[in-house]
Amino acid sequence: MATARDIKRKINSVKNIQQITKAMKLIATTKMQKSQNAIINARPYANSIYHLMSRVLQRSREVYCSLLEKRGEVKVTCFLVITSERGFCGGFNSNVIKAITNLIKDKEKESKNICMLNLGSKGYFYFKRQNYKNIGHYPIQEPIEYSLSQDIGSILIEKYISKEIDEAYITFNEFKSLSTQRVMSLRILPLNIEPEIEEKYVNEYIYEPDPIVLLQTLIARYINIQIHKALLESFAAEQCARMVAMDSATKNAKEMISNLQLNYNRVRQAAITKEISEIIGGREALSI
Amino acid sequence: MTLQLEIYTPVQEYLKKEVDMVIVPGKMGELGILPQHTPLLSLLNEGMVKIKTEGKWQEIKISEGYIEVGSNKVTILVDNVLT
Repeated sequence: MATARDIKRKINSVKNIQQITKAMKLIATTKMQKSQNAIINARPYANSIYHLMSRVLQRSREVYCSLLEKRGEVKVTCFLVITSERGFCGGFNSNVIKAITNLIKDKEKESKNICMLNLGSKGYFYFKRQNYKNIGHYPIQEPIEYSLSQDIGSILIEKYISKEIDEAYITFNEFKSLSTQRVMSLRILPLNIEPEIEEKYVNEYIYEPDPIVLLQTLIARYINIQIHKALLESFAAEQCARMVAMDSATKNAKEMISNLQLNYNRVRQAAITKEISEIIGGREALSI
Repeated sequence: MTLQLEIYTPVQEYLKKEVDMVIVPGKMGELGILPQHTPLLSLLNEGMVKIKTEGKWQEIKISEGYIEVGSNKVTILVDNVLT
């Protein structure tokens, strides 16, 4: 049986853990608020790019752009996986990994080759152990810079044009609400966009230079901003997941402390009772 | 008569206000845009955007991007505002 001192020591260590989880929760909360702002700030640009692109597409639907056309034979599928840099965030990473594993199974049934582009180390190390072909690994650094998405976007387009990959998906945790994240999978190459139809000024527009050139640069930008948005969403979702995980860890620590405290009191009481009965026993032995 | 000018980058809404005139570095040469301009969509080179508000000029250095001119509304989308 544990002595009172052992239990006291245990209580102290649980208290320390509780303090750490509490601090981690607070940090995650502030980071989450910041990243939510970043998502809101990125929105108008993303919407405008989409709007411009669908306008140009509508104007020149006959324009052929290889980035929009689905390839007849798909040999290599690329997955862009966004995970976190650190753990302590509940099922955040394992959800993404599970979703990807299912997608890969489907693709492998159709005997397609798979390659990975990892954003965030957790996914990178997992898929490395599984021996999937890795074409790039980028750690996620704070704050999330747009230039990172630009780099990744241009790599993807380059590989797509040189036919190293035939399609690309991006998989990440979507920030749905404070308590829920949902794994999202989007195809970013080839792009699928439905042009808006309702515009009335379409034919009155002057295009400089011609629509084909415009469209190509717009698509590249659109892919960049899609990646950037996914990164921001994933980061916000990560902080939320961590917040929730650390909150329940703090609660569990509290429960554990109260149980241990109860146990400590009991052991202490038992020791006192034992001591008293010893004294009484001794006295009785003397008086006879 | 004024123009509604909006400048967006991927990380922020940089500017949103009523202006008298704006001059941008278009791909095919500088473009001066006054109210009632015809609808236009153009690529922008890296360079200076000059904005006239109530008689005063303001300059902003931008990287490559786009300009869309609609009905009295100018939207500028750039990767980066360099100033």
